[in-house]
Formats: sequence, C-alpha cells, structure tokens
Amino acid sequence: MRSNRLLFLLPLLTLLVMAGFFGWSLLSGRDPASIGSVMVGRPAPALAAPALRAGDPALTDSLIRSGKPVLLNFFASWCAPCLSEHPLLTRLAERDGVTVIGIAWKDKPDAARAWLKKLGDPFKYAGFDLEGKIALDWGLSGVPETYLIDAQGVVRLHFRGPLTERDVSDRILPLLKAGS
Amino acid sequence: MRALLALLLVLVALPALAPAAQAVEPSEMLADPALEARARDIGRGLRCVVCQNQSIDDSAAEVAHDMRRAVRERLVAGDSNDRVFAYMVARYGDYVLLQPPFKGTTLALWLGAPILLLVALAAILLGVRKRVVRPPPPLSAEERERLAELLKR
Amino acid sequence: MLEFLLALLTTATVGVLLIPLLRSSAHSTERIDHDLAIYRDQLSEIEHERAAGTLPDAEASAARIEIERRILVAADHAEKKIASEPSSAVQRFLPPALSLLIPLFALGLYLQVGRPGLPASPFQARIAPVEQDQQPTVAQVLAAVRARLAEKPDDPEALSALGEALTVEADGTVTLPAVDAFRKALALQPGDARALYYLGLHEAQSGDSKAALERWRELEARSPPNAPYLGMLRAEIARVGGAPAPSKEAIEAMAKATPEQRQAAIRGMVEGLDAKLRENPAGRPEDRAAWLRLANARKVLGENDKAAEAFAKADALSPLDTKTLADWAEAHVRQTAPGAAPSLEAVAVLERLEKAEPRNALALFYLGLAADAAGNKGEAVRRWKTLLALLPADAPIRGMLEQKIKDAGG
Repeated sequence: MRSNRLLFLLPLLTLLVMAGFFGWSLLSGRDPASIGSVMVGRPAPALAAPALRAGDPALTDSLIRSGKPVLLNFFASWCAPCLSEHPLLTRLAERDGVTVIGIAWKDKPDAARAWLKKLGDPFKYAGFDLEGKIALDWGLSGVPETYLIDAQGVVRLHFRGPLTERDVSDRILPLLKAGS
Repeated sequence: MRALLALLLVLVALPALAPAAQAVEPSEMLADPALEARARDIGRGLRCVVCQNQSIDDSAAEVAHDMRRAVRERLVAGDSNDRVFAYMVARYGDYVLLQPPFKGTTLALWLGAPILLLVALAAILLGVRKRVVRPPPPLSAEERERLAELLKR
Repeated sequence: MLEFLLALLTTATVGVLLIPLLRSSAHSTERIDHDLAIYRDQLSEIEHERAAGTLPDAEASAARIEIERRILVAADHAEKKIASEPSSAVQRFLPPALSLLIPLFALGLYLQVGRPGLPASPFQARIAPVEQDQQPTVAQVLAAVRARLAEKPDDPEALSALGEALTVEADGTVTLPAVDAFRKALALQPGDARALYYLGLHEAQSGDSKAALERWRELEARSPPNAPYLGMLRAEIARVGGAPAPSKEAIEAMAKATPEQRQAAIRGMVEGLDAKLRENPAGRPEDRAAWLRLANARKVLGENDKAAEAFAKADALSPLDTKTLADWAEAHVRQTAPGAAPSLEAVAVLERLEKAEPRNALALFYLGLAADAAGNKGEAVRRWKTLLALLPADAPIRGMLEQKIKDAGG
C-alpha cells in the first residue's frame, strides 16, 4: 500500500522536474533557437570571392592568413539587421583600426555597392557571394553573420545576427587586444 | 457510427501519412533519377538551420536551397551518402542532422524513452501478478453481520 | 459601466466557486444509499453470471468478497463523515471567506496592474492618421534639401536637415554621409540641437554609449524647457543609458530603505558628484551640465548655500538662462531670514534676473526689499507697486505687500 502511494507521487514529481527545467530555460537566458557554431576554434575555411568594387583584386585566402586578425562580415543590402550593426563595423574599422572584410550574400553587386555608398563603406576588402556557395563553407545560416579570425587564421568568434555594442566591447575588442 | 469513426480517424491521420510539402524546385533536380532519389533521401535527413524543425527538402529558406544544391553537387562529384552528411556536419555541426548521432552526449536522448517504457511495463506486470496471486481473505463473522444489515437498508 | 461589468464578473466567479461547496453538503447522506445500490447491482450480476456458468465459482466468490469489502469501506467512510463532520467547519467558513477574499484579491490585483484611466483606442482612430498622412516622403524631402544646398552650400539648417533625411532614409541608422552633414552643420552653427542629437545617436549606434550620453545630457541641460525635441531626447537618454543602470539589488535596497536612509544615499551621491567635479580642472565647459544637476539636487535637499555655489560655477562656464537664473536667485533668497534684506550676492543675481525678465515677481519683491534697506524708498515702492499690479486679486501676500508700500511711504 505504501509503495503504491509513492507511485502516485511519480507524475507529480515528473511535473515538478519538467517545470523546473522550463523555469530554468526561461530565466537563464538560454536561447533554444541558437544553433551554435562548429567553426569556432577551427582554422578558417578557404576564402575566395570575386571583388565587389570595380578595380579591386578578388578576395583570396591570403587575406585571412596574413598574420593579422581580421573580421569577416556577411551582409546584404536587403537585410534590415545589417543596417543596425553597420555603424559598429564602421567604428571598428575607423577607430580601432580593425581590418574588416565584407561579403555581400545573395545580393546583386549593384545593390550592395549602392547600399555601401548610401551608408558608408567600412570594408577594407569586399567581395560578393551571389549563389551562397562561399557562405556554405563557413556554415552560414543567414545574414548578418560575423567571424573573428585571429592572426593564425583560426576562427575565434562567430556571431549569428547583428553585432551589438556589448559584442564589440566585451568580446571582439578584448580578443583583438590580447592578440596584438 | 463505426464507419463515421473510421472516416474521422483516416482524416486525422491523413496529414501524417501524406508526403510533406516539397520545396525542391524542378530546376534543382538532377537528371539521373537514381542520384536524385539519393539526394532526396539525404535532404530528408538534413535540418534547415534557420527553421528549427524542417528538413531542407521541406523548407523554402534560402539556406535550405543552397544546401540542397550542395548535396547534389557532392553526389555528382561521387561522394557517398555518409560523406555528404559528414560534409554538412563539418559546416553546421550535429545540429544539422534530423536524426541525432548515437554518442555520449546523446545517450539520454536515445535510451531515455525505451528505459522509461521498460520501467513502466515492469511496474504494470508486477502489479498484475500481485493481484492475481493473492485471493482475498474471507469476511469475518462480524463483518458479515454488518454487511447484512447494510444490504437490508 | 465598467465598474458594473467588473462587479458582475466577480459575482459570477464567486458563484461558480460556491455552487459545488453548497451543494455537496446536501448530498453527503444520500451518497451511501446511491453507492449501495450500485454495489447491490454488481453483486446480483456476479450471481447471475455464476448461475449462467460464465464465471467460475472461485473467481465469483473472490469478486464477491471484494465488493463486500468495498461496501464496508464505503459505509465506514460515510459513518466517519457523519460522526465528525470534518467538512462542516470548512463548509461554514469557506463560502463567506471565498466571497470576501476573491473580490479583495481581484481588486488588489486590479489596483496593481489595472489602468482604468487609459483612453479608449478604437481601431478606426488608429488607422485614420496613417491614411491621412500628408507628410512628404523622404525622397521629396531629400530632393528639396539638396536643391537648397545647391543654391547655398553653407546653410547649416539645410545641412542638418539633409543629415536627418539621410538617417530617415536608412531606417534610423545615422549613416556616414549623414554624420558628415551634421559635422559640417555643427561647424557652421555650434550648438545646433538637431546635429547634436543625431551625432549622439551615431555615437550610440557605433558602440560608444558613454559619449552619446555625455553629448545628450549637455544638450538637455542647455535646451529651453519647452524645446519640442526634449521628450524624444530624454527617451533616448533613458534607452541608451539603461544598459549600465543601477543594479536590481541597488534599486530594491533603495525601495526598502527608510526615508532617512534614502536621504543619506542621495546625499552620498550628491557629495560624490560634488567631489568629482571639484577634482576636475576648473573651467571645463563639459562640466557645466553636471554643475547644474548638482545645483538642482542641492536645492531639493535644502542646501541652498551649496546650491547657489554650484549655480555660480555653472554660470562661470557659460551664463545661465532666465529659468536657471530664477532657480539660482531662489537658492540665494531662501537663505535670508524673513523680512531681512537679501545679501549682496543675492542682489547681484536678482538684478541679472530682473534684467532678463523685468516682470519677475521674485526679483521685484526682493530687490524692493534691498532698495528699502539701502534707504532707497522710491525704488522699493516702484518695484512693489509693479509686483502688486501683476498679482491676482486674491493673492495672499497682497496685504503684506500693501503694508510694506505704506510703511515705505508710498
């Protein structure tokens, strides 16, 4: 009889465990939609892309293995969140002297160029990936996404979605400072 | 009545049985039907990375389109199915597999449900055995007297 | 009407909860009879099946015993219930308690989260302004501004408007060309509020919230109190400044503190600001806004002498406007005893205030007092008579003022 009664408590216990898990999920700020990245800590994939701006040389792998850390940003002129992170990229390029490489993803080069003309162009090198083939090698899920590649050519950070002030001040800049 | 119920069941089950809406566009398909069939097999096992719980064959997202094309390119280049899966995992991690691999971190996921089922079955069996084995003891004289009184009411 | 509906809803809720409570008491005695009928049926069914041969004897007697035991248990339960009536106390107190507690709880919750004063917002009214939007499009504004700049490239107003239009075109992102336009506008017209606001926004967007907040606070401090953009500016300051806001614990601690503790905490902050400002090298124009904040805080705390000093510091960096002059003068005259003549420093501030606003009541009254004390009765009477004419007919100080005019021989 006693054990039977304990058995009745089992569903309640299960419910409590589940409620606890849900509560923790809600409160810990865990993002269940986050898919993580397998790129971080690995040597960066090969880079090869046609140049976005007329007269520029095409992007080659040597750009991300030059012995200097670089920031690689995938963007598109049709992407609204790209607008919000654009001033941050500009600031990183201008004030902090970061080498920022931009790749227009699934965007007509004309549209991407017009967009950069309108907003200002923070990219030291810019290419485009109309078909999304380069992006696939980088494990891209959409735009904007940003990779920090260190001096050794290893991906150190991978941001999915627009950068924020915190990303810049708490993660990107400290890593750059430590690396230089 | 029974016929109606059967009809209802069929209607409810229909969406699950019907093939899910395909997002694969004709222009993406391979000319070789055998290769295309393999591509579909693989596509159904790969998760679209921006839509949580859809295979790349079911998703109309840009990334899913690119992934379908990459799958076909790998197949044409002569890759085995496993190598195509490995190609995707190298880029997007295990997340990209709709059927998670069997390894240390996924033990609970794979074994949790069967173990729970076994435990429940064992509990039920034990309960039934107990009930069958023990015949109820007869009523005492006192109890019988009280019962007679109650039933008279 | 709303109150009536709320009362109706509450009554219905309480009613639904009470019905089973009131009903169950009536049924507790009938219950056992009902159960007995069912068990009797079951017993006769067993008998029936045994007679028909579908149930073996052993199983039939086992089932019979089981049902008989159930009857005994049910009878036990019923007897216990009638004997002790454990539910009677519950039944007596629960209904009134429920009908009292639920409305009270609901009322408390409503007072906490309800907003009865919120105006109605019908869908029709909300879509109407969108339909009637006659404002020119961004493209039109851009074209107009560019045309103006083609004629007059150094028009700061047009440059500022260009920057704004470019920003609107980029969905609120201050683009680099916009920043250029604002910088040019500011060089031509220092203090241009629009350029300052958007440059601050640019700083906030490019990850320098600190610089943005500094710029905005400076702009806020020197904006006229009726500036149309002040609301937006303050909202932006709150939004951007929200990130390094005081921690939750600090806010909770503040809410729990006694008035004295709170006063002490505020005083601590004020003293901290004061010390920080004094450490800075004198004459930094960017400190002016902070000095004004300090002055206002001191005034609220009743430390009028220190408030006046802080106002003087801010004034030294750049002359104060009329509204702030009045605050400064008030800090001074609050230090004088009732009826006594204002100090020399007070008079200096009051005279500046009078010059900026000849009909300022504070200046008229206290400068009258000062003139009176200095023996200049005519000047005193003139000021007080001007003030008297400004006062409403039922102003309580009229009598006192008329007496003073009479005493001064006016």
